[in-house]
Amino acid sequence: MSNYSRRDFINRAVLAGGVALAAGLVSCEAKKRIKDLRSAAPDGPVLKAGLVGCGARGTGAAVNFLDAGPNLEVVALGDVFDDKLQECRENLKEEKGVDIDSEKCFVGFDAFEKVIDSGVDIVLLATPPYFRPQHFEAAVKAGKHIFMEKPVAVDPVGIRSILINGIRAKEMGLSVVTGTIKRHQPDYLATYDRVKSGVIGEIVSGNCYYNQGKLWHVNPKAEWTELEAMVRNWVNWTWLSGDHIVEQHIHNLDLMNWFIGTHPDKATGFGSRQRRATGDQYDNFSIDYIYPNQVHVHSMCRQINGCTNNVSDLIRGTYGYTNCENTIFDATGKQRWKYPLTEEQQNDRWYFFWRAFIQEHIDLVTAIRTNQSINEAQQIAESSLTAIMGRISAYTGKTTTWDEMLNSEIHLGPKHFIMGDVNVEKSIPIPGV
Amino acid sequence: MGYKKLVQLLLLVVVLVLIGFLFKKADAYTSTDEYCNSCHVHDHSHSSWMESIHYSNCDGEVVSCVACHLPPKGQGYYFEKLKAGIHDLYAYHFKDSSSYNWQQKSLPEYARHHTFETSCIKCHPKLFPADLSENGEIAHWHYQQNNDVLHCVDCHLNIGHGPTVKASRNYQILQADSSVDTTYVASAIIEDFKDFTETIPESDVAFDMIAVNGGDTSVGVSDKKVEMRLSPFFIGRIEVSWDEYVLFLRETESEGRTEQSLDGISGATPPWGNPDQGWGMGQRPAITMTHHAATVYCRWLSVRTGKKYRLPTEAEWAFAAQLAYKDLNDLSEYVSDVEASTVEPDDVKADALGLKHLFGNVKEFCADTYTEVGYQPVDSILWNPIISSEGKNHVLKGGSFKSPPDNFRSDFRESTQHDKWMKTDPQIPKSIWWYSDCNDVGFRIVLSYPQTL
Repeated sequence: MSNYSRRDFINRAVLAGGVALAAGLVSCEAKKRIKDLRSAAPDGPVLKAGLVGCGARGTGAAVNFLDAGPNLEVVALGDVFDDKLQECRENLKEEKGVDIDSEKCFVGFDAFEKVIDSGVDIVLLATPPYFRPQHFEAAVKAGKHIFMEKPVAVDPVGIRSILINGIRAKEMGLSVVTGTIKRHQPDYLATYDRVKSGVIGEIVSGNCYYNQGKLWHVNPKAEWTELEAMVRNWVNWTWLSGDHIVEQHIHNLDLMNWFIGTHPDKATGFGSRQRRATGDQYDNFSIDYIYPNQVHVHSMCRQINGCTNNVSDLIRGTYGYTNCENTIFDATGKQRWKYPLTEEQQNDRWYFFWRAFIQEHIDLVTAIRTNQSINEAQQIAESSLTAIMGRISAYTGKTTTWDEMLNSEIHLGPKHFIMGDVNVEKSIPIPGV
Repeated sequence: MGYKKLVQLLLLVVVLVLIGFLFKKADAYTSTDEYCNSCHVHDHSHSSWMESIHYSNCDGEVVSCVACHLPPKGQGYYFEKLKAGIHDLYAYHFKDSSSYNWQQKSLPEYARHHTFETSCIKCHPKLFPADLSENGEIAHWHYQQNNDVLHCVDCHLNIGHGPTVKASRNYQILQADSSVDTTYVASAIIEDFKDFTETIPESDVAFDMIAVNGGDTSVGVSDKKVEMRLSPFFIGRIEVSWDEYVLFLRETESEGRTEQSLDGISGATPPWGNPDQGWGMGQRPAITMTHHAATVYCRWLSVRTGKKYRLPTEAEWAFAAQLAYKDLNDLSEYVSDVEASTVEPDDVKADALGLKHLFGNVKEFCADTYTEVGYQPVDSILWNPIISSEGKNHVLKGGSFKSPPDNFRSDFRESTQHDKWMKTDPQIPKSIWWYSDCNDVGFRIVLSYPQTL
């Protein structure tokens, strides 16, 4: 009996000590985190990844994964189109000397299942966003760690699926990292830390821009079915990409949510289609997002050639403002702090940007190998929904609210995926009807 | 330190260890299922527990009483144990267990107070296990979004006692009974202003309508009475019964399917589980339908009978109650004393108008939107007033089996609680046909006379 109570006591003492120790470690860890972004993932047993979606970004993600540290392999590929897959396979061979067994190359709308079942530890999801919820769910249920590109859904139904499976991933101890690179960039992280510590005071407003030229489009070919033509031209179809506010501008909206610490309650937006050549999307949006306490964020995005381009962010606080990337100003515009750059970094505008793509995978592999899982599913789902609520407001001309979006039944895309005609609404949205 | 002090200290340690040991023993002893049962006089709790998944499962896992009915250790276990112990000790020695309403204590609003959610979560930490069904996912997502107001037992009520009931859409309710003796060929024809029996053509369903002479009255609470004049009307002798309501469900059932609709009326989706709460159907009042569903029922019935059935206005309902209970003070024969469920109309005596259960049984919908102030006086006398303003809540009259006796008055009025009554409905959007969290509302129908009105 005293044995029992003594053991109990010892357990408790050890536990208490452990907790104290862990708490200490965590707080030190938090302080050091920014400066000490790992330059490579730690070594460990081989981790095998499979890629779903073999386009340029998918291929890039596979290369980034291989660059993240030692003992990392890409062993399976999946895509809807064989030509895309073979192109990716050749690029991986050329760039990284990786040979993918043809038995582990899967083509078709069900390729993701085969990749997941091919004995991999990690799945890289890089298809058009429409497919992400389905792929994410399957990967989580199969117990795979996941890297998934942004955005993670094109509609509220998809967002709910991501949120649910994000919780499921957490419950299963899986790591989930997404492609919002700014959160993996040391300059942004350092700026964030300063803003959080109150350097610019309370946040009162924000502006964010993704104004750029036309992206790209693919004209349909006679031998393609409508579905094939749409998927190959996915950045121009809302049901596949979510429209460019979701597909690209999410980087800025994610940043706003991150710095402000929550998502907006409401959105009222405008948008239109002036120059886009194909598909059913708009090519410009302007949204007023209202966060709690009447913090307004004005968001703009445009994909039209020959206009003033600007991809940047600004957050204003009671004592000053920041570009969120690397500089903090006081209220009069005088620079108060700038992220210290080495000469190499000064000469290369994209120094951190390109490294962030690898950093995402370094952080993912580190989480897996150190058994400290990270899970970005909720933050990316919320950012994607932020963009979606802006889009829906612009499309309808109505103010949208977070609660209404979170509980909305809106679900885009066809019910069946058979190569042929696609039964979806293809007209361009008109507000106020 | 002297020798004496050392001995004292040692003694103290021994005593403390002994006390600790005894405490541990006592705690273990008083936490066994046998100990719980030695006092807990409701045998059925033990037998129903043995039927439940927490006893009878493939893994041979036995979940004891305290595992659910006390919080986990370190999360208020001893405090709750002491509280429950004192309470039970008192009740065991000073109260008569046969006076307890065990059925009522099993209702979710009571069960959530003696089942600890922290204990549910301790054993079931995963909200989204990989094998969760699609419906389960929707439901747990709803819980996740609203876990400040929801408790596991709101949905998993029978998880610890009784056989596991997997909630699913109840299509059985829609199966027509083929052993029908009578089939009415035509609806009733009203020739005079007198009681009549309505018959729904091509069905075996009939119900009585009672004629209520119009007249002048005042409706409202004490000093705020509003003078009004009401036209004659018929009112249902009993609350709309399951016999009647199920026919409506069968004929108008929809789940995005409209081909079965009658004259454009697309009716309710099949309910989840047993909308009768397992109390029985037949002539018992139909319950748990929304106010919207009740109004669609009236439209359907009107089409089927060629009349204009509708919900009563608050004025009509109050007027009928004034007439029905004019000279009656003792309500005991007119209101059932069953406190945990509805009863059949035969269980009580008819009032002066011939109606059953105006008071008690179920709260009855009125057509009026609920406003705090109710009817407002005008310069002249109000004619057949009704409040139809914007708002999702409506007037309820008559109280239910859950209501205190002072609610059984013609001037007592309350409001539907739309949001609260949809609390556990996980669907997006929520059902427009069934309240997920209210089991004591129903309705009675009326008919204007003459019908041209």
